[in-house]
Amino acid sequence: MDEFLNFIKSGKLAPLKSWGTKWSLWPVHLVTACCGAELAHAFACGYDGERIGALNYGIARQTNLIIVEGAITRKMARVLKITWEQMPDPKFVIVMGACGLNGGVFWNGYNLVRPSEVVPVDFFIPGCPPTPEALLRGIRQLQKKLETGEAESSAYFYDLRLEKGKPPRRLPGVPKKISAAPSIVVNRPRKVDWAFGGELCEKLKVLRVESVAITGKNRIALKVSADKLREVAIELKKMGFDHVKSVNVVDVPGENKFIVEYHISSYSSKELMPVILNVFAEVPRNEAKIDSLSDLFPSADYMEREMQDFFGISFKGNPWKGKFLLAPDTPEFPLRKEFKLQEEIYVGD
Amino acid sequence: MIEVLIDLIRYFLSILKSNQLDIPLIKPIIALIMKIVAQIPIPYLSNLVDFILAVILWRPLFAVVVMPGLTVLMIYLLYIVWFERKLTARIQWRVGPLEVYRPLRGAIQALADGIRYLFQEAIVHKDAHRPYFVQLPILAFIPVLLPIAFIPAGNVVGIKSPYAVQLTIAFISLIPITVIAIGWASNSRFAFIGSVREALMYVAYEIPFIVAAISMIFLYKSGDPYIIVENQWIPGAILNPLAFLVFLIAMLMATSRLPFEIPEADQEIAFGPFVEYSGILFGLVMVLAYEKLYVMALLFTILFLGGWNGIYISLLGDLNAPIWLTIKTIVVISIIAMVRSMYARYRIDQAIRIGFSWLLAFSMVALAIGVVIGYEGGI
Amino acid sequence: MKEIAIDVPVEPPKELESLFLPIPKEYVEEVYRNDEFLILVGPQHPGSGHMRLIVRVKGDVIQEVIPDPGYVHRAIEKIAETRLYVQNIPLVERPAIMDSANLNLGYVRAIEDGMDLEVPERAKYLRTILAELCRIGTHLYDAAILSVFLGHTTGFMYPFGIRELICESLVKMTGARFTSSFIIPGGVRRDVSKEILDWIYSATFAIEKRLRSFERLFIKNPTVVARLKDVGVLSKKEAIEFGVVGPFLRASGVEYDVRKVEPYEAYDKVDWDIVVADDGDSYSRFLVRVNEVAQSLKIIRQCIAEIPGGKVISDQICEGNDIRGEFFEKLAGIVLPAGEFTTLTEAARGSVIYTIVSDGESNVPYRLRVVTPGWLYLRGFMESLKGERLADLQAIYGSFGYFPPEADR
Repeated sequence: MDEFLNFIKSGKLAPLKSWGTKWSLWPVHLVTACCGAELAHAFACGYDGERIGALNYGIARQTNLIIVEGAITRKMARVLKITWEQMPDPKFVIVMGACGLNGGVFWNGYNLVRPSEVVPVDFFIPGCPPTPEALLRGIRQLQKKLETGEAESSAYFYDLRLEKGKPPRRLPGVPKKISAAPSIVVNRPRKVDWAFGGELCEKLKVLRVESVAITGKNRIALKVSADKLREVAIELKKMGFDHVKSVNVVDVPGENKFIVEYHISSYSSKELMPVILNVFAEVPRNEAKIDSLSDLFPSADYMEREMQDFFGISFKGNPWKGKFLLAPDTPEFPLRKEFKLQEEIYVGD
Repeated sequence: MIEVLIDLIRYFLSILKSNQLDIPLIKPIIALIMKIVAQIPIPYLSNLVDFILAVILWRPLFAVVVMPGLTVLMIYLLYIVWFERKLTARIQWRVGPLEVYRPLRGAIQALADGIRYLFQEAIVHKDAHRPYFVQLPILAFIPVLLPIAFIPAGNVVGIKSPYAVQLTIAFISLIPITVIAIGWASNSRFAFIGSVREALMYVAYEIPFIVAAISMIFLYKSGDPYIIVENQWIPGAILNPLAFLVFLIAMLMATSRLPFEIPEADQEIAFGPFVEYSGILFGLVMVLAYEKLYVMALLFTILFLGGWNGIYISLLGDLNAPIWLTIKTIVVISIIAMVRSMYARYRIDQAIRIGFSWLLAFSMVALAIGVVIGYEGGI
Repeated sequence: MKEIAIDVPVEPPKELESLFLPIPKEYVEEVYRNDEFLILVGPQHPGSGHMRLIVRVKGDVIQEVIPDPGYVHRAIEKIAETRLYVQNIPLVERPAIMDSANLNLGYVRAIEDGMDLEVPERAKYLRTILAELCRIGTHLYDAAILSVFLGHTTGFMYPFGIRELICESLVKMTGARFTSSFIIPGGVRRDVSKEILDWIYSATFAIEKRLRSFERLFIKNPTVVARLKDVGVLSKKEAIEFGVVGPFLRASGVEYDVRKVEPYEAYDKVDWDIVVADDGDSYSRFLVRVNEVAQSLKIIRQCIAEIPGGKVISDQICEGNDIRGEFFEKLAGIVLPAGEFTTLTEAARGSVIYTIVSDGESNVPYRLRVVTPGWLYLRGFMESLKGERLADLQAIYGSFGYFPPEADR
């Protein structure tokens, strides 16, 4: 930020100030995303950022540099701002990673914020993730900026001259094919060579389920009605299925329903270990309520909260209210199909 | 009027002149300076220079300000921060601070950090107790720096006292109180936990520490550093190895260095009492532990490593003793710095258990050894 | 022990209101009424990653920990619905970039399961080598984080020094230090020459040699043992109940490893053992992973010694042996048949689950469900903190190797 640069470069003690700040850029321990792995490499023994006087240090009050490591989510943006405000002036910000520049692979995600909208950024380092060399180069460039007032970019933009006489290249069109009226079947049966599956299916048919289907090797789908889900789960627990691997919701707006799936498996029974039961129920979209299984299977607790965030399905019996994974200002129920993300623009259209 | 003033200065000069350092090495240099000054035709200049030189070479002042006092302390602070980082780096397969000034292998890194701290904003946050928050880092220097006046180095001594060892221990015991007050003034939950931890650690190491020191006083039958050092033709470390061990570990605990870096555990409670400090105030509180380490290492050297005993170089004269004391102290600190990269941090209950079980037991045995040797006629 | 209480009215600090706590106000007031207090660990804290733990402390003892995840929730599941199946390959490895090959492998296997693709043997071996390299890298990363949480900075530097060898191996094999996207539906991107495999073979010995000095310095260090032993115990029953996964489950005595239970790639052709411990404390969670590194090195050596020749990409995808240059033509249009395809893969920190729901017509997934190990063991992690001391929070955190980007996706 110019204000801090001016402070460093002004006054009679300017050379001393810029020298001291230059060789003592201490990044604060604010890890924001996965580029932190490369940051750790840059300060570990392979590359040793301490050579150039940068020491990764505890908390905001004692440091003067934030290295934003990649994606900043809506929740993290607040933290970034608070941290930046906690730091004593003069302070600087380096952003590493493509996500921090313009979103990277997550450019159209609903939960991403550009760091430059939150804090003033002094230097960007592109890459996904940038190598440790690139990060250290970024710190060197910030040092150079402190010394001379201008950082040097490694990006060069050449003027491209169009060649005459060649036919224009045919640009590709949109490769995407999206079905207009998708029909979703999560229990499409498949023929597999699995003897134990047949026995298990016979056992499961006794339960109060609507249908049982083998959907692959070691995979069985059980369709139950929404009000019977709990009873079936109690029976399954008696059979030896002891934990939930995944809670999933599929939104089918065309048929006005949510398919709520619990992937249940077992750790305690040797022969049931590889089996994953997909116990699913259908609930109407406008009245999305289902019994929670979190008291039977505590492992389902956090995933039910997550689905509550994503789809707005209320799990009766789960005590958590409010948002868990998402920030307060994230769009409501982002994984519902009516919430559309921005699509890429293809030049060929 | 002027005559009275000149008489007063003469009187002071006579006091100063009566207690001058005797260094054969710099005698010709002083003579040369006086000769040059005498040729400059400014009235009273030669008297002034004579006075300034007399002040510098006045033994008590030299002991406090130059060696082993503040100047050495400042150089030591720059050195130890760099040395610690460099040594840690070498153990960790890396280079450590280097690029700041290559010819000195980055030795002025701590200076750069200090300058940066000086020009950074010192934040006093809203909930802090403002006067104490700002005053305490400076107040904390009093108990840290006062012992330097009492610790002698041969003939060079600030305040001569037969109770120097006891006094130093008393002052060292005051330091944790300032740290606890710093944590209180910060008014933060992490600072609060840090202060409580500091208080608990204080209880854990203080008794073994004092008992180990007392065992050495019994052993030499005196708390006078001159008698202690004179008697050490065998170093105290060999005479009473248990006291040596207890003192060393208590030193690690008292200066909160790994494996006992519990009150300031940055990964657990984010620098504990110092969590809210920034800018030059943090610079001040950060060097507190290093200064405490310096004072304790001076005491350690006097009690266990024969103080200023060493090969006498006649050219240096009175400077021999301070130099030997400083060298030994810095070697001790450098060895302690190595421990940092070797151990993880203990938990607070484990540290207190160590303090109250075998550290206390060892110190009691050390006390018994000290009493027996002292009773049997001493050294 | 008798408790002495002084009746002093305590008010919750004002700052708790301005920090966007996800818990109700009544809870905060109740905590302060009961002579306890709340500590917020993270997201800007030297001893935490990208998440916030709301720790309820009585004295020095943790009563309850409420997680506040989502600081790195980057909406992978939603973004995947707007991309082609192959475009999602780089996306799904972003949650844990040090473990990219395993996350990549799980997704690709779900596609292969849907399309009934046969993967050539050589590709299977290459995938196994890549997955195990990433496993070693992740375990080393977690060991480093554990060390720094215990205040042992040398223990942080050594594993990262060793990790450089892993990164170098990945660069030689795939061209990228972290995010390789090397595994594609039907095989791998390109063949790996014998020289590179030999280099990796010798690198495994270098890793083993350096691990011995790490063992002397950190694993057997008395202070480390004192900090980790009998801390954060999860019994076998609890571990099963809370659905803990991977090495943390095995540390509690459950002999479950997806690579043995439902073998994929070349894991049923090489000789290796499941590492199991009984104690379920932080130290055994750490030791299990240390021993898994040794097993992984063994698997890599066997794979390199026994690797068969032949193609590295399935005939169903590409006639030649090199997909470079025609990647987009061959793979952009793949459409999965209608249905749901779930695969279970053993990533370094536990089992990762990919569920692809396809409508049978689109070439983008209708719904992609990713459940990463971090998200699965979060509940067990929170339960194991109860009743421990505040200083143990970092020890347990490190022993679980909790990596928030992976958990939040």
